[in-house]
Amino acid sequence: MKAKQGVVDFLNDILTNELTAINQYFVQAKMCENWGYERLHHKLRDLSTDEMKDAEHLVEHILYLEGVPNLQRLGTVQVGENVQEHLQLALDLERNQVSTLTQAIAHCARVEDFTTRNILEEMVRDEEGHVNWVETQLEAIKQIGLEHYLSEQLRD
Amino acid sequence: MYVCLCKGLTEADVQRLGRLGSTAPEVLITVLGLDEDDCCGRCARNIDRLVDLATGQRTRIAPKPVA
Ligand SMILES: [Fe+2]
Ligand SMILES: [Fe+2]
Repeated sequence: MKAKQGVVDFLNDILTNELTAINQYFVQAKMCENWGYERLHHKLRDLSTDEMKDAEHLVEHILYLEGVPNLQRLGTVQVGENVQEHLQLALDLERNQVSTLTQAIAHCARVEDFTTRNILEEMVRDEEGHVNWVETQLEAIKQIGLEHYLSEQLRD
Repeated sequence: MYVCLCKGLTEADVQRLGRLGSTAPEVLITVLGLDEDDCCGRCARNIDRLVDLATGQRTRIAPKPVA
């Protein structure tokens, strides 16, 4: 199926964000493992896998639309030096992805590509879930203090 | 946070250079080696943020901690 004007470009922008997210969560997960934070390690690794599944759907859909999936491009992988920075940078990443998805959804509505719009609407719900999780972690740190939060992360 | 993963450079590294007087974009790129082959090239494209760090215009790139 031939894509409507601009849709593949949006899908590739979203794909770039997903590929960036896969790497960013993966390295953050491994750093947390190295520091002994098993619980965060597993959570961040799962997030990386989630983004990998998103990337898979995007590549499949771009091919279905007879476009070329651009796996060459990668955004800035933002890596912190401690847990709190990791979480802040994860929030940055997710908010950026939600905003790109929102623009893409509006574009799909304009050019009347309702199949793509449905896929992206499902995706933005997932990303909002990610934003929510990160915000909850940061709020917990604010309320119980960083040390308490971190000691909770040692065991899974 | 890390400002260049290719070279393993952190915000503190850039601030240290800034205090020693390296604040111009070209100087920072050369001294940090961001124009060398083993750097991806993206790090040098984010040079404005590094200049701000070196000059003390901002104290960190990572978003402010919540606490
Ligand atoms: Fe995603
Ligand atoms: Fe996400």
